[in-house]
This record gives sequence, structure tokens and C-alpha cells, in this order.
Amino acid sequence: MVINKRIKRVLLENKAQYIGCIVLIILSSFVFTMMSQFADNFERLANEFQVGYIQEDATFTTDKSIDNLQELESTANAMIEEGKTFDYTLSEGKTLRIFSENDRVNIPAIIDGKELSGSGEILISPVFAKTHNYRIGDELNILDKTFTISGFTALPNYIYPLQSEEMMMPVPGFGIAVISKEDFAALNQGSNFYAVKFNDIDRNLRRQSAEFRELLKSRNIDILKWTNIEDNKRVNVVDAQVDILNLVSNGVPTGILLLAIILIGNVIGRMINRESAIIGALYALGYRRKELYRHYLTFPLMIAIIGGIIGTILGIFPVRFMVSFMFDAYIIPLTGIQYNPINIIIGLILPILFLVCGSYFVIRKELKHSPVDLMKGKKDKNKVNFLESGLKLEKLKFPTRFKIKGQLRSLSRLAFLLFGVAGATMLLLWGFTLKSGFDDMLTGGSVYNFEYEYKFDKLRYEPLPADSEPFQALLFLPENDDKRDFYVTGILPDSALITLVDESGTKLSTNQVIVTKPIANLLKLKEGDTVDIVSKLDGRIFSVEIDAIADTYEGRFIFMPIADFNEKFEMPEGSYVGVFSNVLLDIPENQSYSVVSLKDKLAAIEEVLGPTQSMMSVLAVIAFIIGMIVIYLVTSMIVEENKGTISLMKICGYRKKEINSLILNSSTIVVVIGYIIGVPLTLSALGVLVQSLENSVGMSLPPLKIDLPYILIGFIAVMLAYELSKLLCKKKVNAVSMSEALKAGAE
Amino acid sequence: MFIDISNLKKSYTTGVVITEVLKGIEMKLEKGEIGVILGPSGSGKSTLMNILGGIDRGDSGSVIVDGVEVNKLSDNKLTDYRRGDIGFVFQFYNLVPNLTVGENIEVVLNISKSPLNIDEVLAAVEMQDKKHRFPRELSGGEQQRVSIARAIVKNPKLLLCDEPTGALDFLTSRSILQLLEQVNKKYGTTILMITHNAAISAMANRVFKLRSGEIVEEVVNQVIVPAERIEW
Repeated sequence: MVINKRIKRVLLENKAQYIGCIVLIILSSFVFTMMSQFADNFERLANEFQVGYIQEDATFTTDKSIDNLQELESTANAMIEEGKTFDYTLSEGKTLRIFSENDRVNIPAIIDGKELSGSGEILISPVFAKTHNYRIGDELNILDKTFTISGFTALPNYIYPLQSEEMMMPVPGFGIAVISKEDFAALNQGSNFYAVKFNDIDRNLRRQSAEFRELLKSRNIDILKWTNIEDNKRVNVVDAQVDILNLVSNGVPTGILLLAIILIGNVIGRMINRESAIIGALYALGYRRKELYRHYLTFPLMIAIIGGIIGTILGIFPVRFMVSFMFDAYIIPLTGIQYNPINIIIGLILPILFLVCGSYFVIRKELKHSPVDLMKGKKDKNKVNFLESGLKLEKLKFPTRFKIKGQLRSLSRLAFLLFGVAGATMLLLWGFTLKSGFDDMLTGGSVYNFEYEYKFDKLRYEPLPADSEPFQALLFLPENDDKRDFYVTGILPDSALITLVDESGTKLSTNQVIVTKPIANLLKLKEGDTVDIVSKLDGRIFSVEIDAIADTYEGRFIFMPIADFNEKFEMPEGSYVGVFSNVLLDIPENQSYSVVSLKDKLAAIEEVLGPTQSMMSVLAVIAFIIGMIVIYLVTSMIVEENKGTISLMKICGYRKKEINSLILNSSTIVVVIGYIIGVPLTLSALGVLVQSLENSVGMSLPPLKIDLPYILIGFIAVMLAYELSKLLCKKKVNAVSMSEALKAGAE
Repeated sequence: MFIDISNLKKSYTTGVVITEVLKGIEMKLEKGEIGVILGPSGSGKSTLMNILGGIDRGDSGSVIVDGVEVNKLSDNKLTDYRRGDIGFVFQFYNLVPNLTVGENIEVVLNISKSPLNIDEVLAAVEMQDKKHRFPRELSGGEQQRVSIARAIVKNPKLLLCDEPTGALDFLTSRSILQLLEQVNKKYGTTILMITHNAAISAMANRVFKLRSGEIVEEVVNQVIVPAERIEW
């Protein structure tokens, strides 16, 4: 069709609008391709690792050694491998958790270097090596024996290398290491544990676990600790991470695409409106409606194809970098990147589908009029919408009324501006919300007033030095919930190292049963309530009466006096399993324990803060670009729409400043409202992510909030984008000539 | 003399073609008079009016309005001149479609130093009961009344009307002319109208016939016909 020759010309004449659309589509396809390919690769590589290196189904410790493992394996239809481990402090702030090498379950994968081939060799985690500058061939001295690093390793049960399961993130001073069984035996150190992998992969894991535990019980073997793989926070964060990536890879591009649809719908609607006389003439000359549909649909089609192709190609490049960046936190062998063709096709097709469908409805609405109506100029061209006529603004000053009416003139334009600013705000505040959370973690630690937390593998009775307090701890689950576990912790009745306050800020005595906020919320508890809780170890149910609720989100705990704890849960009198302390303890070598320092926890948070700040900067740049595009395009549309009025104002003697104020500043209120809407929307969107974390990992986080300074910084950024857009549009306003009004046609 | 134009020349260049639009215009109008510029399309009427209104500038010659040499004013002064002294009435009204009648008048009221009372002006154009209507709810004649109200609310020294009846039927046109006549009498506003319609010249004090950029004839009406008696 010869009229299609004008497509290129129209695109070039209205460069800003169409480039804006294309950039939005590029951003949308880019984010979709990058995040979906990233999530796919992450999930695939994690899965290959877990299957290929026989990840355990559960790990457990027992009161005594299991003698005939082979016989037990065939009875239980499972693979069972005994492992040994202990924590060794290489120097201040450098702790290795050393494992004996497994060859059937939780087999160590070699990421770099070579596997253990003889005595005196050690494999260590790559992150630990990178943090502390260890290279293959370097030597480590462990318990007076020298080990040579033969390679870097990943363990399928330590994908996310948390030092303790109560921690939220790995500490930089903690790493894992593997040595041969013979070397381990020679060191004469550590405690035993078992890893079990059931052969029947189709049966429910929890049922198989329960049956296996019954089997052990029937053989008089008591289980001291049992962790199913799905409850293992060192592994199940992978699923949570994939869920989040999938959520982001679907949510963000859809939001941007919706913005692009509103924009392109607006642009095409206006174009058809402007060209109604030409369209009428084309009808009169014999053109069919179908041909005009095809012509006008070519615009969104071209934009979607150009944006989709560029965005998809750009989205492929960072995938390898992102996966390897991610594998600094998750220790998984990066065996290769694969690009899922379905996601590439979706990245290309989705914008086409969205844009063409959205535009089709706009075009249909505009082209349904008769040729005569179109040629005359549509009757509803100057129709005043219900908001314009309905709002009673008489009491406001004229400039305010003028600006409000200017915004209400086009509801689709208003929606585009409002949602565009809200969307940009969400991207901008996303990072700030995370930063607020981290800031709280770094500064808000007022509950735990100790430097070290020791945890022993066996119960202890020894007296403790001053500035140390013993504690007991057992894992429990709410009734009818096998995911969100929590600790019941026995502490000293007059603990100086745990400070709990109620909502009014009054200090609570620890000589009573106190729950922290996450547990109070989870179990819907009030003071004086009695709650039934299920022991995670053996399924026994206990009733606990709650005396007070502590106003803290730091940890999921029910605290009670340690003597009451031992009595209630039938633990030996005077026993404890851990110590809170402000001094380093002198522990006999034959006692196995782990220790976490507060400094390590803070270092872990700061370690995560670095990448978070980089992510925040990237998001802030994208948000700024989207904000600029949206505001610039809307302001341009307003200028375009008001050319006649601007011209008239110039004739009437309005000064440039006055015209700019009336025309360009009219969006201020919408931009501010868009920003205000964006704040709760950010919190809701992040709430969905947090919920997904809670559901998949059983992790509980404090209520989301954004600190006021960050809200102000975000606001300044959005207003800066607004002011820049206005500055660019000023030229357009100045370029409107007074002859526009003189040439104007019939009203 | 309120308006004193002398040897005004204006030409436009399009590519290599130079078109002389005004070729040495001489024109005078006393304060409070009604002047009509008559001429066919392309004769230079609109260009002359644009220069008088401070929208355009002449290439040479002088344009003095109420003692001010308009042709030599800076851009800012020209804006002040339009803002304070000039009222415009357009052939196609140029009302802002999404503002009510009252608000359309306020567009000018908003920047005027000593405006007239808006209700008084609306009463003068007989539109007081339609203050809250939108332009699309009005007839062409009513829209032109609003356009006149908007032009006179600032109490301009000079009211420039570009084919004010060009888009209207006879009866409506006559009522608009009557209105302009009333404005002239009530507020003492000097009015300059451009039109194709020779019949309108009967209500003017002075008539300037323009052809190909030159005033070919200037007529001073000895007997002024009231607008209500004009017919065509």
C-alpha cells in the first residue's frame, strides 16, 4: 500500500514519542529476557548439581553410632553415608567447617583444581578462597597438620553456606572444606552425622523420613537432630531465589509493557484523531477499513518488533555475568550457560502481542465512525469528560483550575503519567526498602547484648565464666504447619545478655515466657494465651502459656527460664546446649561446637550490602529513565494538545514564564500523587516477595518500611526527572508560534 | 492620531521567492473610532492587523499606536503591549474547549492589571446565564460573544477583529456587529475590523480598501449606519 510510505516519515516526525515507546519495549524485553534466562540457568544448574552429586534428602545426628549401615540401607531402601565435621578457626575471623569426603551422598563437586588424591590435600569453598586470597597449591595448617589446597569445591548440602541455620546470610569469614576420610580420622576431632538419600524418588519425602525415623527408633537409636532437605536453609533459599527471580521477570516487564500500551494507544489515538479528515477521504476514495487497520497497526507492530529484538538481544548478554555474580553467594558449579529458546521467543512475541492487541482496540474505537463524520472532524473531538465537567473547582484560583483541567483533559494520558511515575517510584524505592532493612539490621541490634554465640553438639553442664550465660534451645513447629519453625529457648531468669522490651518500651523480666513479634503474629498470640507447639525432633506436642510479647522482630523465639525449659522438655537438670558470651570460652578440644560472633553477622550484612547498593544504583538509573520518558512524553503531549491555547496566550500577552507555569507545571500534582501512590505499592510488591520467602524458606522478616530520608531522596530523584523533562519541553512551548491561533479552524 | 501608520512595508521570503505583502501602507485612525479594512484574500489585511497587534513586525516604516512606536518595541515590550493595550477577536473564536465560558474570559482576566468586572462584561455580551457552559454547548454566535467578552475584559485601547462575522449567518453576524458597536460606545474602545464583507463598512468611521498590499482607497464615512440597519 502506498500509504505505508508515510510510516517512516511519521515515525521520524514524532521521534520523541516513538523512541520513548521503543525504549520502554527495549527495557521490558531486556528485563524479561535477562531475568528469565538468569532464573532458568540458576534453577537448571542448581538442579543438575543437586541430582548429579546426590544431594541428601535429610541429615541427622544420633545418640550412638549406627553399626550396620548396609543392612539399614536395604531395609530403608535408601543410601546412607556417615560424615564427620568440625569447625576450625584458622585465625581471627577465618573459620572453616571441615567435612570428611563423602562418595555416595553429598559428593563434593570440583569447581576448580582437582579432587582429593591423597593424604594432606584439602578442598575449600571458592568464596572463602576469594575472600581470603587462597589459591590452589597454597597450604593450610589445621591442628598441626599441613594441607595443600588441591581445588575449590561445592557441597550439595551447603549451596548457601550459612554458618548456622539461624543466620540469614553467609558470613565472609566462614567457609567449608573437605578432606579425605583417612586424614579426618587421623585428626581425631569432630562429630558424626548421617546423610540419607531415599531411593524411591516418587514417594513423599516427609512420609519416608517419618518411616525411617520410626525404623531407627525401633532399633533403639535416638535421633538428636533431624533436618529434611526442604527445611535446610542452606538449600531451600535456592527455590526462594528462583521464585523471586521468576516473580520479577514476570512482574517488571508486564508493568513496563502496560505503560507502553497506554503510551502507544495514546499516540495512535491522537494520530488517527488528527488525521480523521484524511481517513474519511481515503474511505471516500475506496479504501477498505481492513486496509486502514493494517496501516495503523503497522506502527505498534514496528515498535514492538524493533524494541523486542533489541531488548531480547541486550538481555542475553548479561546472563553469564549475572549467574557467575550470583554464584559468589550460592556455591554451585557453573558448568555452562544455556539459553532457553522459549523465553527468547516470549521476549519477542510478548511486546508484539501486548502492543498490537492494545492498539487494535484504540484503532477500532477511532475508525468506527462513518467517512462523513471523519471528514467533518469527529463530533466528540472537544467533548468534555465527566471529570472535567463534574469537578467543582470554582473556589480555586484560575491558574490552579487551569492546570487541573489540563490534566483531566485526557484520562488515558493522566493514567499513563500516574502509573508511569508510580512504576518508576516502585523501581526506585525497591532498593531503598532493602537498604532500610539492612540499615536496621546493622543498627537495630538492641536485643542481643553478647559478642559470641556458642553451640555445642552435646549437652554441657560445666560452670561458665563471668559475662557468659548458658541457654537451651529446641526447634518447634506450629500445629498444622511443617514449614515455619521456631526456637523455644531457655535463658537465665535474670539474663543480662538478652534485653527484651514490650510495646511501651518497658524492659521485660526474662523470668517468664516471652515470645518475639514474628511468632506472636504467626501463632496469633496475646498475653495470657496458651499455645500448643510440636517438637520438630520427635513430633511431641507441648502446651506453653505466654506471659508477654517482646516488641522485636529479631528472630523467631519463645524465651523461657532455662530451669523451666529443662523441666518442661525433659532435659537433664542444669544442662545447656549453648552459651551467650562476651568473652571467648576455653573449651576442651574433645567437645565439638560452633561459634558465631556478632561481628561476623554484621560483616555478613555489610558483605551483602555492596551488591545491594550496586543493584539499587542500576534500578535507580532504570527508574530515572522510565520517569524521564513518561514525564517528557506526557508533557510533550500536553504542549501538542495545547498549541492553540499557548498561541492564544502569547497573543493575549502572557509572558514565557507564565505560559510555562500554566502548561508545564500542570503535571506537578500528578507526579507528586504518582510518587505517593508508588510508596505503598512498593511495600505491597515487596510484601509479595517476602511472603514468597516466608513460604518457601520459613524465614520471617520484620514489616517492610522505607526510612523517611530514602523517601525524600526518591522524591528528589523523581522531581529531578520531572524538572529535566520540563526543561526539554520548554523549547517546544517557546517554538509555538502566535500564528497557530490565527490559523485555527472552526471550534 | 491614535493609530498612525506610515510607509509600512513587509515582505516574506519563501526559498528564493520574495513576496511583498505590504508595500508602503499609510493609515490613520482617531481614538474611539471604528475602522474597517476591506480587501480580498491575499491583499495583506491579516499581516497589517498582526503588525498592529504586535504579533508580527514590519520590515520598515513606522507603526504608532497611542504614541508608541510598535515596530521598534523589544520582544518583552511587545508582550507588554499585547497584554495591556490590545484585544483580539478571531474569525473562529479560538476558545479553549475544556474551559467554561467564565474561565475562557479568566484566561485574559488572569493577567490584566485593571480588568473590568467579569459579570458586567458577560452581561454586556448577554452571556451571563451561560457562564458555566463549555464552548461546545454554545452556538457559533454565542461563542463569538464569549470571544468578544474575553477581548474586552482587559479594557483594551484597541480591539482588533479578524473577520468577526466570517463564520456566522446573517442575523447572528448583525447581532455581533451591534455588540461591537455597543462596546465601542460604552467603553470608548477603538476598533479595527478586517472583513471581506463591504456592507460592514457602513458602520465604520473610516474604511480602508486594501489590494495587493496597498491602500487603494480611504473613505471617511460622513453618515454612519447603525449596525442594526446593516443588511447584505
